[in-house]
Amino acid sequence: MEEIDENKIRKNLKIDAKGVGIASGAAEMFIENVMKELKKFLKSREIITEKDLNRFLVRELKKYNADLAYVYENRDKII
Amino acid sequence: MCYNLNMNIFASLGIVILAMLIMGSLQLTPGVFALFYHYTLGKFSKSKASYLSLFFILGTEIISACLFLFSYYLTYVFFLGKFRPEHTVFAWIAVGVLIALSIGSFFFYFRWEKGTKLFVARSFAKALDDYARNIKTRSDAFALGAFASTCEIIFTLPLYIITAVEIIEMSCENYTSDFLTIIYILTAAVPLFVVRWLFKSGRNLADIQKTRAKDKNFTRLILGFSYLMIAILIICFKINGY
Amino acid sequence: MGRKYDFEYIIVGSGPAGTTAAKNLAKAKKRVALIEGRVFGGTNINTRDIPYATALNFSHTYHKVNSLPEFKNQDLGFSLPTAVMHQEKVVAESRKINKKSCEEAGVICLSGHANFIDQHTIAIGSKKLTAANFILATGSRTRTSMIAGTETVDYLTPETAVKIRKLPKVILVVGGGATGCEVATYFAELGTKVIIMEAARRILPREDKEVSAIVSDYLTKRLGAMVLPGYKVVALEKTKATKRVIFKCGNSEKAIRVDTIVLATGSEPRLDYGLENAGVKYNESGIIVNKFFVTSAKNIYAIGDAIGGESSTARSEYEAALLTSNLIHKAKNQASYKGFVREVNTTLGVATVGVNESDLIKRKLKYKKAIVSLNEIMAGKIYHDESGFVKILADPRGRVVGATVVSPNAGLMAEEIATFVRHNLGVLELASVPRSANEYSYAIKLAAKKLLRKK
Repeated sequence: MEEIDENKIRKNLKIDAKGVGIASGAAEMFIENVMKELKKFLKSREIITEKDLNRFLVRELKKYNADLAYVYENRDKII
Repeated sequence: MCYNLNMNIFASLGIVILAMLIMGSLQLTPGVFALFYHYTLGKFSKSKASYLSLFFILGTEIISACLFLFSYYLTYVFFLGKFRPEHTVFAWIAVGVLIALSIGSFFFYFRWEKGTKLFVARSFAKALDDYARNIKTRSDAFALGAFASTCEIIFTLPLYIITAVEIIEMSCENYTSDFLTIIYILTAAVPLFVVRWLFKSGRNLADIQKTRAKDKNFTRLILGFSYLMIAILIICFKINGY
Repeated sequence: MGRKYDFEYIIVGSGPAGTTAAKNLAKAKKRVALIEGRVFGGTNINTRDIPYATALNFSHTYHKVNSLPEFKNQDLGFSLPTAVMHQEKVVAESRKINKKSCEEAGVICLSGHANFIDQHTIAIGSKKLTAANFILATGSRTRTSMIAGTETVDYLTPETAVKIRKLPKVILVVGGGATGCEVATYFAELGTKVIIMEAARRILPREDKEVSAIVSDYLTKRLGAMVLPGYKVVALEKTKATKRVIFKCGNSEKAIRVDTIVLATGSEPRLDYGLENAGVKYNESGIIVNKFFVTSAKNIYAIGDAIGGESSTARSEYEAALLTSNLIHKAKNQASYKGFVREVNTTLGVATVGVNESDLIKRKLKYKKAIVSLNEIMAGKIYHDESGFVKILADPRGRVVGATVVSPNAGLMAEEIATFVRHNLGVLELASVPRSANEYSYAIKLAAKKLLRKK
């Protein structure tokens, strides 16, 4: 069991967004939206697994950028 | 034992070319490289990412060169510069290893899951991913390239040894081997340069990964058949001496 | 010794599939819990079948009375808030009856959002529950992901549309399938100006062409709706006072401004409860199951809308009954979906049972058909409605394989024919059933007789 580090998630999303080629301003904007939704999601559930978190983030990211969502979803399936 | 000189040279050349094909098709180093390039693009500027990638490739090449030259030295010393009939048992061992690698390539190289998950342990893959994510300097990039190249030693070392034997044989027949040696060592860098070019031309990790996932079965087949073909060539031309 | 679990079966979802399964298992003396994350009764009781049936009954009745020649110059008013209150009362009553019947059967009803932790453990809030087996009956919700801008623009769904208490002047219904046509009918009958946009070349694309034509005609001429097939909505935008709808028509992209939008763009299964943690495989269409409703995790089953396919209460209940029967009696019976009625509850109702003509043509099967128009029977004149027809399809051996009914009592008429389809009965038997000549169902008898005369 460990605490969810929102700053780490935010930082990794920004790196992935820039890596995928999204302009930093646009990325900041929608990552903030995603983090707001994440806060709501975390409040709605008391027990969350890593897979639940990934699933939620991928679903939210798909609303903004399909490539970013794909990279986030498949980052542990590359090697 | 009487060898057909011309066929022997062509067989050796064929083995070396197939070995190059395998080296160019292996996926662990290109996969790590793609992840590394994606993360450096995310943290640094495009020019810095491009610059660091050269050190990754250098690391890969240095290890390839070291492993190949080590194999070359080992085989030269062991076979005293020429493959003789009394060395047939080692040829059969090599054939056995190649057939095992062929079967391994078909069934175990890629995991039977979504994506391009490889045979490496998951904790190990995660460690590689974390290392790639935290790269800051040239030496980090170099070390990652060297390390990624070493991880596939189980698939590459038998090839290095067999290719070294063939290149030694060809040099014994007065065919220059230096050119082949350089080309063979550089083959490991070809997929990395291709991935680098793809990133520089505007594609991103999603595009590259989708292509890798789509061509997964083709890669499996190429690896499997190439190992098998090398084994067949050794049996036909080296052991039985057609 | 096996591991001890809190329950033998935990059922996730209290819709028709979940409650049927729960009650059947409880009656077989199994230790059963039923978990519902939203309102007890699921979509069927709270947002779909029951509120829809109530709302459409109200609008159909109002429209029918208002259209009678006897009431020609009279202005009949209605109170929409009162109608909606009645709807809510019916829903609350149904919910209460449903929950009571579950509890009386011995089902432990729990509320909370369920999330899988592993194959045998589920979490509701901070509480963990374990079970030997799970049945997933989580249903579906409106799909909006194909249209951009749905996060920022307010829109109605078919579920929320029938609960509004003030009629808009103009309403745009996106989607001309069964649900879209029903919503459009509801508002059109109550006097709202309705525009229907459907991406396919005709509304009701799943039905036969003549069905689409007749319903489209009815909506346009009798209810004053504007039907726009071949119009694909791609995005919604929020402007100061209204909403802007961007759509594609052929190769060009245009926009209109509307006040109220209803998205009736199909449904998607609800899958957000940690299925990966339990090793249950799923895709966009739903949870992947084999022919016995077993998922990729051997102790987890899934039924109803959660596994995709056509959304239907009858189908969900049937699957629940079959699954529980297999579990209780350790049998391996497979589902047979023959004889299920697919209904569209517009003013001029549409109901299809078995195969329709388009399916037979696609599959290149030989068949015979007979069509009887409602203006050939007395009922059309008695009830002031001659639009519609009954079409019966039979195989070369004379067995009834399907029927399409377009008429005011379409659902009931199709259910009669369903018996013949399900039990492979022939056209002769169908024609021999006595019927009153003053009812719409007399058209079934005439169509069957027509088929008998065909060689």
